[in-house]
Amino acid sequence: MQAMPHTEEAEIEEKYQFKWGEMIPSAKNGEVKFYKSFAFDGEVYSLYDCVYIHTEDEPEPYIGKLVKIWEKRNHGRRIKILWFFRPIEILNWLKDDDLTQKNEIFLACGEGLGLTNVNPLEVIVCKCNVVCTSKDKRNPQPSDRELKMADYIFYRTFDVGTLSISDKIENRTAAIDVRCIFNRKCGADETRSIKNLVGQHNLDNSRLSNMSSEEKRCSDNSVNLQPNIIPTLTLRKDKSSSGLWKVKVGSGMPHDKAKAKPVQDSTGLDKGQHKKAMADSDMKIGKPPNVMLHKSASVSPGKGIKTDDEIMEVTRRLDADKRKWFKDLPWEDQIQTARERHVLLLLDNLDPSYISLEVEDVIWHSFNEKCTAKVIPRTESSSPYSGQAIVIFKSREAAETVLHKLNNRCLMLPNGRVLFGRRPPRVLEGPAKFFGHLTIDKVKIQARGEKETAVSTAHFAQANTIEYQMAMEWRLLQIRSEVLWAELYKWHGEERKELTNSLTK
Amino acid sequence: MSIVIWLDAPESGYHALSKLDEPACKASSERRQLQGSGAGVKDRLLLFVYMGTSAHKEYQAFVDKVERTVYLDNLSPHVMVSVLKTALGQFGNVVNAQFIPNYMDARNLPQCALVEMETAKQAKSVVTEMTMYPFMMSGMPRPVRARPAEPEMFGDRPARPGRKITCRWVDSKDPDVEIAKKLKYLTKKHCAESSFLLKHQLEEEQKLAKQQDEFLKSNYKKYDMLDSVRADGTVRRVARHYDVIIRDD
Repeated sequence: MQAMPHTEEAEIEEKYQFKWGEMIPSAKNGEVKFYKSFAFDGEVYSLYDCVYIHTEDEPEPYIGKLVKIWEKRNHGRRIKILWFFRPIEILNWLKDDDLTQKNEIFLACGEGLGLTNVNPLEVIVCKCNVVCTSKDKRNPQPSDRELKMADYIFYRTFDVGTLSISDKIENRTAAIDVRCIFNRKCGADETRSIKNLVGQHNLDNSRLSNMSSEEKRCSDNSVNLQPNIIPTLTLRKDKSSSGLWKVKVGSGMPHDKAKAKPVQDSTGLDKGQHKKAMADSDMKIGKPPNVMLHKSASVSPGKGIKTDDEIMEVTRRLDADKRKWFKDLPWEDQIQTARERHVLLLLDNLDPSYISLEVEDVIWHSFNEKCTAKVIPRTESSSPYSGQAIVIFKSREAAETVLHKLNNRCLMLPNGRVLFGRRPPRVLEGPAKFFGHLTIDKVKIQARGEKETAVSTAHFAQANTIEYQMAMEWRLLQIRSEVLWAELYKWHGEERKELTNSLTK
Repeated sequence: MSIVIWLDAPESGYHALSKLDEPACKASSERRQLQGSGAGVKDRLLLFVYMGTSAHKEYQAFVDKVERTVYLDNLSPHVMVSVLKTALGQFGNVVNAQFIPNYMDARNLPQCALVEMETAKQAKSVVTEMTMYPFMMSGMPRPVRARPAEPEMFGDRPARPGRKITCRWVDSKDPDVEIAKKLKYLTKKHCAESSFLLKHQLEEEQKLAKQQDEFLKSNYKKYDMLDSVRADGTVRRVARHYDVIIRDD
């Protein structure tokens, strides 16, 4: 049960200039060292900073608060993270008018899965600027400037036990003083207040014992990391200049896999994270909110987010790489991937003459979302009135938001075209089907030698053959369906015209 | 003297440009009205003419390409680009052949393709010939259907020059909101109807294929029987019995 060997650690240290900051004196256990801060890849992280956490399965990184940082000899660096929820993750418990703030997230509280996790320190992507806008007296109110600078804001909590949203922040969340959750006092006070808090944190007897026992368990088992939230983005990251992920994966993955089992064995060791880790080990994604996430996919269209969500862009590094990664793939593959990531939408009722770029522009202007679009080329059976396009969004959240908005409101394009969006129909499995090419088994066997030439040649049917007779039957069917399509679309055109004419604008 | 030279040069420039296409002609006439108003105007005008021409030219080139192109459907999944090229090579020179991608991955739909011929005339003759006589490609008896291509069939078409798209959110206070909602509902209904008809069409095709298959099999059986009757001498025996003279072939 070896964790990160020293050599690799040293390698990371060298490459990304990892450096521990101030240590928190802890007399009890010499094996485990707690820290107040550390520097990683050119950035200084302190306790109670908010960070993006990378996950493999979700396009958007998670957001969490660092609530504990420690290192145990020979067992790598660990961080404990208190989670924030994105609205999309808890959609089922949000009411229609609940979302007024476009970049609001929710702090996890209560007891249960999804509150906190212990992870290897290396899963941190970068810092995230989260501002607390709670009206609580103890919360130093943010300035307008701070609000503008914020990536996300929060003032409400989501109780992972009772699954309810509240705007009261309790005195203690996950054994952390509420003052650590609120905004920091600005300026010079900041560092001092942190110090105080950290000091208090340690002085608090009950918590200390609580904490150290927890740490002891952590260190005894050395398995309390979350096996799943490990950066395994190697493929996408290969091209990145940093190469950071690769190192992480190289060092993290195999061990963590090995460790996944011991986690299960350590049943009942801890109320919080261990249980969670166990529950997760048979789940695909590390963070429990995903259980809810899956539910949110089936949420009824009416229960949407109404605000103009401006989705914060994923960190520069992530985004740029994704783009590169996508460019190498043909469209069919991109669509396949997008389908799996649930970021694909099908738009109807576009002007058929629009091109892909114009569709992208429409989406950008009306939803403020970046996407890649592809118009579906017309075939004989396509409607002459309604153009279709498939759109791949950057994130599942974006796709959901756009779909909700399209369902709940009406986006009017020129000539009375109201945009209609839906999830693409399900893919049909199996090999391609085609009816109407017949062969006689015996003849097939006899003519095997000639088959190559016979199949690949094309010819006109001669009028005195059975083939011609059957071909005529097909022609008849083709013409019949042509007539049907023409009738249907004529009818569609009339219905559409009737309604469009009554528009005032 | 200097004025003469100043006028001369741009005029001849515009003249050359005006041969390119219409907007340039228009600009040229505008230019004449603006004579003498200064070099700045002249430059801007030239710029306008160039920009206009590049977009228009690209689109015009695309329109020409569409005219040279044939749309084919009812194609079997076994048809490859090479097969398309050889098959249509009978009618003229094939410049380019491509399948229309089926993004929604409906694997039960026949393939559709666009084949660009060398001239519009060739493309036209392909469509007439294939409509008049059933044309088989990589199998029979389901014939290929040919139609003149349309611009919307090209996924990579250039934008129509000079178009502006506007969009607005129709909210509850808007007088059009009810109609907008109805329109949205209508689109939804139309989508469902289209996919229903498509499904119906596929079922019909499947039915016909099955029917033909049965017919073909029984037909084959019939000829097979005739052959065997002939081969084992039954025909001759029966002929002798009834005193009928038969010839071989």
